[in-house]
Amino acid sequence: MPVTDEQVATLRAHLAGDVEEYQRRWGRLDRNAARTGYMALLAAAFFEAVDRRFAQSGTAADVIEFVGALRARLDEDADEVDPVVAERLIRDALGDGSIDDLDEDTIISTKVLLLTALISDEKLGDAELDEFMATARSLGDRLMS
Amino acid sequence: MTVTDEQVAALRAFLASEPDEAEPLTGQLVEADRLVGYGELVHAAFVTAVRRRFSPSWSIPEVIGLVATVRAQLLDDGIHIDPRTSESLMRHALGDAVATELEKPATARAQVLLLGELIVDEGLDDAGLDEFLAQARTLADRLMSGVTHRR
Repeated sequence: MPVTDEQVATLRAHLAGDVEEYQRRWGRLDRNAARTGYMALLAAAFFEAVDRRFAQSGTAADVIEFVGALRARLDEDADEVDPVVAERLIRDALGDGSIDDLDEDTIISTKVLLLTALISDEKLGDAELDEFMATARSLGDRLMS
Repeated sequence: MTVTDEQVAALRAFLASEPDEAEPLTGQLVEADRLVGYGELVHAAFVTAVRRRFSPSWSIPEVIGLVATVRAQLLDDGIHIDPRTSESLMRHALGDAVATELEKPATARAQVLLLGELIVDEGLDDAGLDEFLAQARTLADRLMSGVTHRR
C-alpha cells in the first residue's frame, strides 16, 4: 500500500511547524497503515533531507557541527538527542556505517528531531515544501514496494 | 606531594606541540615511576584552560558548541572523542555537578585531547604558556594537598 495523502499532509504539517494541524491530523491517522506508510515516508524524508544537506559537499566534521548546533539550540534539553546516535543516523543515510544495533524507537525519535532541524534550516516556502514532500513520497513508495 | 619541574616540562612540550620532546620526557616519567602528580597537573591544566575560555560566564549551548568544534577539528587528524564525555568534563571544570568518571582511560584521553586543542586556540607565546602552566601547577598542588588532607 503506497503512502497516503493523509500521511503526507500530517508530516508536512509537522515540518511546516503547524503544531495544531499536525496534532489534528496525527490523531486521525489510521494507526495500522501509519506503522508502514508513515514510517516509510519519514525514513524517505529523512534520507532526502540528509542528501540535500550533506551528500554533495558535506564532511564528517559538518555532520558533527550540525548535530552540535541542534543540541545547543535544545539547551537544557540537549541530552534528549544522543549526539553519537544522531551522527550515526546521518552518516548511515549517506552510506557510511551501520545502525543495525540501534532500537527502532531511538531511530524514529532521533530522525524526527534531525529531519525537523534539517528542514527548518532550509527555510522552505510552501511550494518548496510541497516539492520536498512529493520527492519524499515517491521515495517512500519505492521503499515499501 | 607536589608537581615536579619534570612533569611541568613534559606537559609543556605536549602543549607546545613538540612531540619530539614530549614523548621522551613523558617516557622518562613512566620509566622512573614519577607519574604521581602528572595526572593532577593535566587535570588542573584542563580546568584552568576551560575556565579561561568561558570566563566570566558560560552556558550549556556554548559548551556543546565548543565540543562540537573541537571534535570536528580533531577529526581532521583521525581522532575521535566522545561528545557527552567531553561536555561533562567541561561542565564539571566549570563547577557544574555532573559525573565525569575521570579514572576511566577514555575520559582521561578526552581530557588531554581537549586541553591540547584549547591551548592551540589560545595561541599562547612562550611567556603565555609558562604563565598558564604556573597557574595550572598551583591549582594541581592545591588539589593534591586537598586529597592529602582528606586522607
